[in-house]
Order: sequence, then structure tokens, then C-alpha cells
Amino acid sequence: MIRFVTGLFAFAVALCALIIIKPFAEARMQAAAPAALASAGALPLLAAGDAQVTRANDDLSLTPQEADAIAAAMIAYRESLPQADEMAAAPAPALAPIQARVAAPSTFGIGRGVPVSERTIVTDQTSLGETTSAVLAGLGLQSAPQAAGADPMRDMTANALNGIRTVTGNTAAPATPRTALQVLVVQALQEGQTDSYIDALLNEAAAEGRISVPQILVTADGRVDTAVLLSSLVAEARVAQGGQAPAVPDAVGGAGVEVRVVQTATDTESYRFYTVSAGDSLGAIAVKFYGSVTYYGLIFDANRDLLSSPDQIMVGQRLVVPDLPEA
Amino acid sequence: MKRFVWLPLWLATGLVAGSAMAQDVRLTADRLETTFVVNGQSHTIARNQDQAALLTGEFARTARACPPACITPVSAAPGVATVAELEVIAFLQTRVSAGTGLLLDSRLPEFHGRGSIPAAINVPFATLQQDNPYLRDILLALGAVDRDGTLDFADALDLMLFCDGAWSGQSPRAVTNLLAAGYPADKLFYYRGGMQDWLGLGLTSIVPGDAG
Repeated sequence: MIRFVTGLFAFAVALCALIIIKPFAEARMQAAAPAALASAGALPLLAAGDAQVTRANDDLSLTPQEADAIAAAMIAYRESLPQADEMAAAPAPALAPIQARVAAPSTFGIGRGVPVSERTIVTDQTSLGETTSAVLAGLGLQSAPQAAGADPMRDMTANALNGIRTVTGNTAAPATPRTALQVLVVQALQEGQTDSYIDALLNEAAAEGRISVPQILVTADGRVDTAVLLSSLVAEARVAQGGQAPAVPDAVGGAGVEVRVVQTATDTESYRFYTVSAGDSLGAIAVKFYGSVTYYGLIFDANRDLLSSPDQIMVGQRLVVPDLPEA
Repeated sequence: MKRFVWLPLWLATGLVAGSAMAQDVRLTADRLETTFVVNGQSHTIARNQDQAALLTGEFARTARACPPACITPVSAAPGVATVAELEVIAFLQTRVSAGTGLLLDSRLPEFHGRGSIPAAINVPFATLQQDNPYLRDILLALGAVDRDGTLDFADALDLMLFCDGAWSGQSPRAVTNLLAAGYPADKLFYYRGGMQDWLGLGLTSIVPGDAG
């Protein structure tokens, strides 16, 4: 008995010591890591190129033809179903004031330079892929197939909705649930709104807490990264129509990008770093380095010590950007 | 899965035999069984006629760890009426069959799938939480109307919620979440006894999907 109690006490002491020491140890490691890398015989740092990294409206990597094709498909959809879709038919009184406000051209750079304030954007566990698929489905367009069971909440909700409708007999509405974000985006696209309008719309709704967004769409300055959302929509629509998936950029340069080459006896390793600036979301950084948001998890996983969740990126954080694994 | 199949089977044989012999296990002294129609489908609720029947399986257990399986208060929330079996049956006969109410099984799909009350709809408590991004779709399907961004529940359905029983907090949580979403308390009813009491009285249960 006494041995057991003593053992328990020793364990408690060890636990307390661990709790006290651990945070400092982590802080020290974070501070030490880059330095260690630099002193490990770092060879010439490739100076970051001076290419612009502004994320303005025209940075959507959308050719005019592609934008037209998708817009045409959306318009055709809207005209084919003028009354059937409640969202297309419903007047949008809530949108009018916003429209007035964004009448003057606005850019995605609105939030640039604004100090990091308290985050008000609510995130949810839906992935960007689920969001884009749902939006494309809402537009009556084909989307790339999603892995079944990826979102148990969505499946449970769909089953609940189907159950409710078997009793209420209301089978007109599609039994695919949509988030408030998806509803807003579908509606705005059906109305043929501009990117800057949609950006203002989503940010206003997010600021008021009316929508929650996938975590990787939250920028370092607490906005919704509409550019990444829209470009992902286009990319997915393109893939669904048999097009090519976005290519991985060969060399990435620009503000905030650092490449360090470390030569060891056997190997030459290069490490890429990216310093977060305002307006960056994890999704945007993934697009920048990998061409698509698909691999954002690589960046997130490599920076778990800095990022508690994918929406917690801050201006000035220096993130490791791993290379894509060889296919 | 299999352990609930015997109930309706027994009842079926019991009913056939019942035409020949006296029925002894009634719902109430003046009522043998209840039949109602929900959206074109007929359901019958009666009791097990085998007077030697005992509970088996999961619902024969009397000891579960608390937490989480703690004893719930009689009331789920202020203004929400707590009901028992006869009120559940009456609710099915009147409001559910008239299309003005729904009986909701608040348990997770796996548990609902093993056996539930006839005509109950599975709306798991988790789907009613604020963190379900699709919550709004459910509220709209339950009859809420969107008026300029806010939901109007004036014409929403009456809901009666149940789960495993008095030792499960799932339907109370569903009630709390519905209230938080703006659902009026006077449209909500809490069947605290849940599956435990329902089966304890030998009442008809169905395995959803096998209901025919």
C-alpha cells in the first residue's frame, strides 16, 4: 500500500514538473529550430524573387474564357429553372444594402495592413471540397466525386431530412443539406454577381456570424478568403468536365518566400519557408505552393507547433512548406 | 440488430392467435391496440401478448456508468411538457397522422437502426447542435419559415422527442438545442421513458427499414 502511494506521489511530482517545464521547452525549440538550420551549414540562401504577391481580384488564375464558360453554365441553369429553385426565385432583400456598399470597386486587399484584431469568423468542420461540391450541385453543375462518409454530420443531416420528408410528404426540396455559406454562394453566383461583390457579401455575413466557413479559408487578418473559394470552385468544375487538375507551380517566389538549401555529406536538402502576411489563408498558401488547396494538410501538419488549427494563422508566422511527396 | 426482430414477429403471431383466444395484455382496459396512418403508411401499436416475456439484451441492463448515463430530471426544460406512453400514442394518432407533428428519435443512427418506436424519425441530437453547419436545413424542414434571415417558428411542427430513456441525456440535449435555435417550448414534448420504458411495457417496436 505504502509503495503504491509513494509511486502515485512520484508520478504526480513528475507530472507537475512536466507541466511547468514543457511550455518553456517548446518555446526554446521553436526559437532554436531556424537557427539550428542556419548553422547546420546553410549554403546560399536563395533570395526571394521580387514577384508581386498581391492577391487582387485578377489573381484568380481564371482565364476570361473559363470564367465565361462557368458563368454561361450558371446563367443557363438559372434560365432553365426560373421558378423551381426557391433560392433563384426568392427576392434577396438582404443583399440590396450590401450591393449599394460595394458599388465602388473593391479589391481583396481591403484588409491589408489592418492590424490583427480579434477573430470573429466562425469556422466549421466542413472541408473546402465539400463546400465546392455542394455549391456546384446547387448550381446544377457536375462536381468531382466526394469520398462517401467524409462528413458524418452531413450524412446524418441528410438522413434526418429524408426521414422528416417521408412524414411531411414534402419531397420537392433536395435532401442534400447546405450550409449557410453554400446557400449564399449559390445565390450570388446565380445572380451573376462579381467576385468583389461575393467577397463583400461573404465577409459581411461572416462578420455578423450568419455563416461559418471551412477553416482553411480564414485569412491571417480574420477575413474570408473568397478568392481561394472561387478559384477552387472553378478548378473543381474544370476537373469534373474532364479537364486537368491544377498543376503544381515549378518555382515559387515572391514576398515572404524563403528557400534554404542545406548540404550534408550525402544529400542536398532544400527547405522552403513562407512568412504569413495579412490576407493569407492556409488555403491560399497551399494554392501558392502546390497549385491547389488539396494539400493544405501538409503545411498544417508541418507547422503544428505554430498552428493550433488551420484557421489560426497569424501575420508574421514563418511556416515550413514541405515539398509534395513524389507521386 | 436481430434482437428486436422478435418483437414484431411475436406480435404478428400473437395477433393471429388472438382472433381465437382472449387478449389479455391491452394498452388500456378499453383498448387492445392502436392503428394510425402516417403519410399513407399504416402503423399498429400493441403490447407483447406473451406474459412470460422478459427484457433481453441492452435494455435488460440496470447499471451503466454515470456519467454519461445519469438519471435525468423529469423536465427537459421550462415550458416543455414531459409525457408518457399514452401521450406518445395519442400524439402519433392525432398530430403525427395529421401532419402537424413529428415523433423524433434523438439517438445516433446506429442505435435508432437497432429498433425504434413506429413512425419515429431519426433526428440525432448532434444534428441539432449549433456547430452543425446544416442545422438550418433541419429547422426549415421542421416547418420554420425564413423571414429576412430570421426563422419564424409560428407554423413549425410539434415535436415529441425521446432517446434511450431516463438514463440518457440525448433527447434533453436535443430539446435544449432546439430551444436555443428559437423553437418554441410549447411545441416541444419530452418522452422521458424512451426506448427503455417503451420496451419495458412490451410495446411494438420496429427495425427501421423493415417496417414494410
